[in-house]
Amino acid sequence: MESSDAEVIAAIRAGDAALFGELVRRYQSRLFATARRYARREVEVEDIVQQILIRVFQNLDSWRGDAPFEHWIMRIAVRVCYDALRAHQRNREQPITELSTEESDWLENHATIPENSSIDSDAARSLVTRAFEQLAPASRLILTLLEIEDRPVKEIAELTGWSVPLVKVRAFRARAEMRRVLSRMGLEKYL
Amino acid sequence: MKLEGLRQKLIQVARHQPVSDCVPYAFEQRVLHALRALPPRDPALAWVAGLWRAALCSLAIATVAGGIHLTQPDDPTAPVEAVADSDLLEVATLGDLPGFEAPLPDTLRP
Repeated sequence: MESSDAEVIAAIRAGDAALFGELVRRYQSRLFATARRYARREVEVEDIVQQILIRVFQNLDSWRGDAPFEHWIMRIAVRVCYDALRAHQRNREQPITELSTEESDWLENHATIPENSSIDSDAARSLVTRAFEQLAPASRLILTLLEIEDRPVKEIAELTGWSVPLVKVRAFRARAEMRRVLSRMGLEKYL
Repeated sequence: MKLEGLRQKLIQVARHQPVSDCVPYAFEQRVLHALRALPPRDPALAWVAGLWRAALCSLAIATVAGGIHLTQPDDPTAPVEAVADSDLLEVATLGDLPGFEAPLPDTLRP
């Protein structure tokens, strides 16, 4: 029978550091999925996940067991991803390149019949990626957690360490910022 | 409103986009190797870092408080501060009386 997280952590604290590999195996998939939402390139994803796990290892003594270990590790993951976004902030303001033919076609279809525009299209995904890369780190984080991952505001507050009112204010600003980004990308002319 | 509609559609696209959770080959070994290579944590360093932070915060607060105090204009209606030397206070009070002259100290007598 598999040991619980608490039992594994107790053993690690007692000196069996090699058991940390068990925690890595349990959570690495989820951490990679989380990191892929924020990293610009695949090569950065492994660095981010490694940073998360190093921070988890170094702060393992501070997990008191009052919340599930999964929540605690995800809190660290979100904060490391946010730090990674901020570290690359100065590369955010890149010149906006022309839309591809596929992207233009998708936008025209959306303008004509919004309900019928495909959500499974590479062109649409490309537009989303480009728009998100232009957002400030806090905006990108909050839109990802709130609107893409559909997490409740209270959970986002716990993950980020922000207060609930701050999460709401940042969400409001993030939506406005994304609209400005779409306008700057010249997408308004298709609507 | 149309821009908001487009924004929400793009969010829908992002939600529908699957995110891979695949783990690179031998990742676990690399992480454990990186953890073994970490320098051991010195508890004293954590204390030092904390004390430095506290000292810098105190300095910042003292600087701000001092700056506020120095930039405050003098209030002419404020009461005169009490003189610490009570003997001097008595002499000054007697000196206000008409016809009274405070005795000169020995060193100043002709």
